[in-house]
Amino acid sequence: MKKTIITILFIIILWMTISFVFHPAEYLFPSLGSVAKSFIENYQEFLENTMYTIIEVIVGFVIAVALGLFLAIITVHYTHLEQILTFSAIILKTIPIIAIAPLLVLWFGHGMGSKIAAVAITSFIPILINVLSGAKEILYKYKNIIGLYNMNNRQKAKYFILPGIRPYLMSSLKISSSLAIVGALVSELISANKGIGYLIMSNYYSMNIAGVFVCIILSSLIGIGIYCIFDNLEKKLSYVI
Amino acid sequence: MSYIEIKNVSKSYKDKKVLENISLKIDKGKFISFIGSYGSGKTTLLKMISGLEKIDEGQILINGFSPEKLKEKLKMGFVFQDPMLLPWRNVIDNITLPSEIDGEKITEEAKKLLKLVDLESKEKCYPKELSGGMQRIVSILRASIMKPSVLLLDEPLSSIDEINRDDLHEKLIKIHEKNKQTTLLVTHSIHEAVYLSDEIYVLGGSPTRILKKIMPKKPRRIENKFSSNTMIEVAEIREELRKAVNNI
Repeated sequence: MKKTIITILFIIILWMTISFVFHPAEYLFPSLGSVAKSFIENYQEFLENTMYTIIEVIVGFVIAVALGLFLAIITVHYTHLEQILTFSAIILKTIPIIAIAPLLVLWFGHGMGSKIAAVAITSFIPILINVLSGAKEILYKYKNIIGLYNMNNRQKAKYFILPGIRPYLMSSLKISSSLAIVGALVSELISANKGIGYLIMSNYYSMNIAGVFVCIILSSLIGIGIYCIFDNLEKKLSYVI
Repeated sequence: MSYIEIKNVSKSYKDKKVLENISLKIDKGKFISFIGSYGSGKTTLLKMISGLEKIDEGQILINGFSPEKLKEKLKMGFVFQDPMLLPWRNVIDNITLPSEIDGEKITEEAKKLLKLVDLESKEKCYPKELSGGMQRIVSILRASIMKPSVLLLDEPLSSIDEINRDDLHEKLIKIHEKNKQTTLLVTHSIHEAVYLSDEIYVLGGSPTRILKKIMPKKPRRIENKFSSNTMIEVAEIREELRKAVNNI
């Protein structure tokens, strides 16, 4: 908590120093006061669009976790299938989300669907790779017990993979949280009529740069918030091997 | 008729033969120890008896069944060098794991076993909250919960300090006397083997074979642990091992 307050104070002081020393034009680098004023004047619009982006991120995340877990649990027992899936995930990872975002709009429409798809795609890969490697590690570590009790795949998943995977899942969620925001924002920047990405573009075109800065701060707060939630969950749900 | 029969068993890894013509007969309810130098194939022998490792040549029969058949019926308990407790399960849930896999969680029996070894206060603890010695005992209880007819112990006390080891020996004896299962222990400690076992097999040579069978004097009593008779038996086995190492 102390570190967070110090960091926030440091950013505020730096911002005020830049504004005071260099006097940049408001359309290039607005003062902290202008940014605060812009938020207060239109706080309802900012909060509504923030909520819209948060919903996209949450739904996208849930889909990514469900899909990642399902595929990892199924494929971990079949080496060839697991290798094909990992290789496909690596290929998908090399494609920047900005390159496929227009296609997603084409496939899932201008509304929330394409944004949820972008969030799911960006966060799914780290989840799949982490969970898969965790599941493999668990099965290897306990191979003698599994062999001794002649466990089938369902029992392996129930007694070993699902309960044992928590630390791997939590760390992948922490990695994915920042990627998910990027996915949502990029998709909103391409085509949207709601969300923080949409507000960034709309404020930019009307030269309300203070509004753009409000959006940047809000998107950063969403990322920090999600990260903190997963960080706390990780501490509560994890175990020490 | 012997309970466990090992007939001319051999095992190779790639082109290297590690075990050759191992033959022995073990009666029901006995406590047997295998002792030998590092890499002599003791763990491999235990894994073959458990059905975890395939046999290249020869045959192993337990009460007339193959190890794989006995393993299917969950009648084989194995304590590995690493206690391998599941860190996400508490003590009682770790002990009852085999029974859950079998379809019915038997908590009462697990509580009885914990009481037997004076660990009833630890049933809700997680493995990371236990000492190394306690983790070993919980691992032995997990292997014993299904009342297996054969209990295999692969150096379960190898990394335990001397004082705790004495305590664990007593607990191991209690478990063996309660369940009366045929117990096979692999150990590096000659003294441990002499104190705990009804029969000791000294393994050595290259490839490994049985060098000698020793039957320590009984009964097993704490006051006999450091008696002159025990020390003579320890010296005898040490000499056999020294010879085996020199012959490699």
